[in-house]
Amino acid sequence: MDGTRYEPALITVKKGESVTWVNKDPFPHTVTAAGEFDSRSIAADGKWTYRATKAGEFAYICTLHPNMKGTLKVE
Amino acid sequence: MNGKILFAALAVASGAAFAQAPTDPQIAHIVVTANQVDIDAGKLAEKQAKSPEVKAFGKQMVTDHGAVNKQAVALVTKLKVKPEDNATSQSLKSGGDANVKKLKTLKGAAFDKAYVDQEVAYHQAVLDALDKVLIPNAQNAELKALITKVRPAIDGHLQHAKMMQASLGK
Repeated sequence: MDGTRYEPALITVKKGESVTWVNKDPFPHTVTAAGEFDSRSIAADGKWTYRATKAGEFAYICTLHPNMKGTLKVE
Repeated sequence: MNGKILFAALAVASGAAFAQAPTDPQIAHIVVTANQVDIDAGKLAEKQAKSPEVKAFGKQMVTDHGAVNKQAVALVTKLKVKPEDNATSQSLKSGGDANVKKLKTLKGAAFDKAYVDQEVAYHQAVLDALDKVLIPNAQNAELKALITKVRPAIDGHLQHAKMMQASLGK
């Protein structure tokens, strides 16, 4: 996360793999797919790891900056 | 009414009232002032808002705009640019002070509504000023890069505030 964007916006992983989001912005962000996963607030320079245990395509946003949109594809 | 004062201040920033394009020292001053105005309102909302969501938004504004200002101050210090006060900064400041003064007289749901309405108008006006005046006129590449990078965060605050505005209206 940098410049209030997810970079890359689309991440593809295999089931069972882990994904780590790193917040390079000077203020907090979240990685939130309603009902699926929610990082809660990730501080500046902080990171959050999610282990993808369920296959599918999950759209997520930052609840603090809802114009930030990303997709996690779990194969 | 105070929303209109602030809006007018930024309309000045984004419109023809700038007889000459703002210089980098003036742009730096406008950026820092615009952040500070929203920090001041956010601090009040943290204390005075009724809804936990609005309180949290106020706190977020203090954090986000505080972080942007820290970056802006670090950059202008590095570039040895001395922020220069100007008419736009002055009207932003007086509009912000008037807004806080008005908000202080409100309580409960009336406070929440007035604060959130103001945040929607303010962030929209800041976006317009960024697009029409501040980004196009910034000469120094690093200053231009900083304010360009901040733009999506301002848009994010606008979307967030609009969502709250819609849910408060229900």
